[in-house]
Amino acid sequence: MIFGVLVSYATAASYGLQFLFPRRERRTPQRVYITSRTHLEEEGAKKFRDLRGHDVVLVQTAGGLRAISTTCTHLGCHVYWEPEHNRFFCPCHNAVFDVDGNVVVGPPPRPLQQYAVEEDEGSIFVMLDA
Amino acid sequence: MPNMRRAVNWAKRSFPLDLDEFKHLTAEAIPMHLKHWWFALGGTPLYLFVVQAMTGIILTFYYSPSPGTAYQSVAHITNEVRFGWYIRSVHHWAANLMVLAVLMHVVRVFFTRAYRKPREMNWMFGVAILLTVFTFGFTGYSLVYEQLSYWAAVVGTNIAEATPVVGHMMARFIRGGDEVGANTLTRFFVLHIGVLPTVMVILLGFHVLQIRLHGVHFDVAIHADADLDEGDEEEAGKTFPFFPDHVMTELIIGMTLTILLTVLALIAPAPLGQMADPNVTPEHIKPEWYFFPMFRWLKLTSFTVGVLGAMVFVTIFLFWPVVDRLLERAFPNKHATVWIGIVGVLILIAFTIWELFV
Repeated sequence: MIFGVLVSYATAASYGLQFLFPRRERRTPQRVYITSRTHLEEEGAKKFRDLRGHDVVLVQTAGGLRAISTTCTHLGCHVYWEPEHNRFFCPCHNAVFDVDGNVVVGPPPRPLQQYAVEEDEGSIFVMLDA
Repeated sequence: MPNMRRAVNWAKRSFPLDLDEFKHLTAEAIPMHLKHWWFALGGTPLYLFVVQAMTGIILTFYYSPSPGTAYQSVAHITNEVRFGWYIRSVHHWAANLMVLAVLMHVVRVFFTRAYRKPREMNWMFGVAILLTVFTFGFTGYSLVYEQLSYWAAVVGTNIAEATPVVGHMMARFIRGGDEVGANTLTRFFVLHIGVLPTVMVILLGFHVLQIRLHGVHFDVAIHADADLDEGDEEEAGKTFPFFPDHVMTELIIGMTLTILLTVLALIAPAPLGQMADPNVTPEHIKPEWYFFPMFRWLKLTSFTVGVLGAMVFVTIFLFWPVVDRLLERAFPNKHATVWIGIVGVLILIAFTIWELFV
C-alpha cells in the first residue's frame, strides 16, 4: 500500500522534473558560405557568426584553413583573435591558444572547437551546427 | 468603546490563545557574553535578510526578467523611478554586508567551537545558509544583465558543468539549455525571488529552533576565569533576559545598519555597467568579491582539479564537527582546529587580495 502511494508520488514528481529540463536541441550541420579565397587572403582572417550568434574566426594556418570557435573551453568566455601575435587570448584566466586552437598557456582542458571547412572553386564554406 | 471591546472579544474568540503560555518563548535567559558585539553577528544577517526581502519585493515591481528588457528595466529603476537608485543601492549593499556578516558569524562559531556536541547539525544548517547566501548573490548579480554579471553567469554555470557525473545535467537545468540565455534569466529570477527565499526561511527556522532547543552556546574557554561550566551561568546570575534587553540590542544594531546602508547608498550607489554582449568578454572580468578566492583558485589549477578541490573543501567544511572530533582524537590538546582555521582564513584573505589587485 505504502509502496504504491510512494510510486505514484514519484511518478508525479518525475513529470515535474522533466518539465524543468529542456529538450535537447537537434543539431544538423549546415553548409554556410563565409567568404572567397581572395577576400580571405586580403583580410588575413575572417570573423563571422555561427547559427547561434557566437563569433567564429576563419584563419589560414600551415595545416590548412581552420574555422575556430571563440568560446573558451575553460569557462565559456569569449577569446580574442590577436593577428599580431597569431594567437587567441582569453581575458578571463589569461589563457592562450595557438592559431590551430591548441592550448599554449592557461587552464583550458582542451583545444578550441573547430568547424569543418570546405573550399569550392575559390569559395569557402563552413559546416555549422544549427 | 463598547464596539472596541466587542472587537477584542471577537478576536479572542477567533484566536483562543492564552498569551501567558507564549511568554516563556521570550523569557529565555541569555548569557552575559552575548553582550559582546561579535556574539550578535547571527542577528545581523537576519536583519539584513529582512531588508533584502523588503527592497527585493519593491524592485520586482519594475524589474523585467528577459534578455531584451532586463538591463533597461534596471536602468529605468536606477535613473527614472523615484528613489529607485536608493532602493537598488540599499539592496546591493545589504547583499554585500549580508555575505560579510554571515562569513564573520561562521568565523566566530568556528573559532569558539560552538559547533561541538550537541550542535553539530546546527553547524550544517549554518553552512547551508552560507551556501544559500552565495547563491542569492550569484543569481541576483546575474539579473542585472550587464557585461560583468552576464559573464559571471557564463563562468558560474560552466563551473557547475564541470561537476563530475551530474555536472552537465545540472548546468542544463540551471541554464534551461546549453548556454546562458532567456531561459537562464527567468530561472535565476525564479530562484532569486521564490525558491531561495523559501529555502532560506526554512533553514533559518531550523537554525533558530536548534538554538532555542540547545540554548545559546557557552564557551567554557572564554569563561575560564569565572570557573563556570555550561549551564552554570544562569545560576550564577550572569544572564540577561532575551526580551526586552537582547531584542533592544538587536534593534539598535538594525538601526545602525540602516544608517550605514543609507550612507553607503549615498557615497557609492550600485553601479550599472555596459549592457551584456555575448560576443564581447570584458578585458578585466571579475566576479563579486566573495567569489574572488574561487576565481583565483581556478587560475592556479587545472579545471578538474579546481572544481574537485572546491567540492572537497565544501564537503570538509560542512562536516567539520566530525573532522574536528577526529583531529582532537589524533592530536589531543594541540589545537589543530584553531591552526587549520587560521591558515584557512589567511589563505582565503590572501586569494581575495591577490585577485583584487592583479
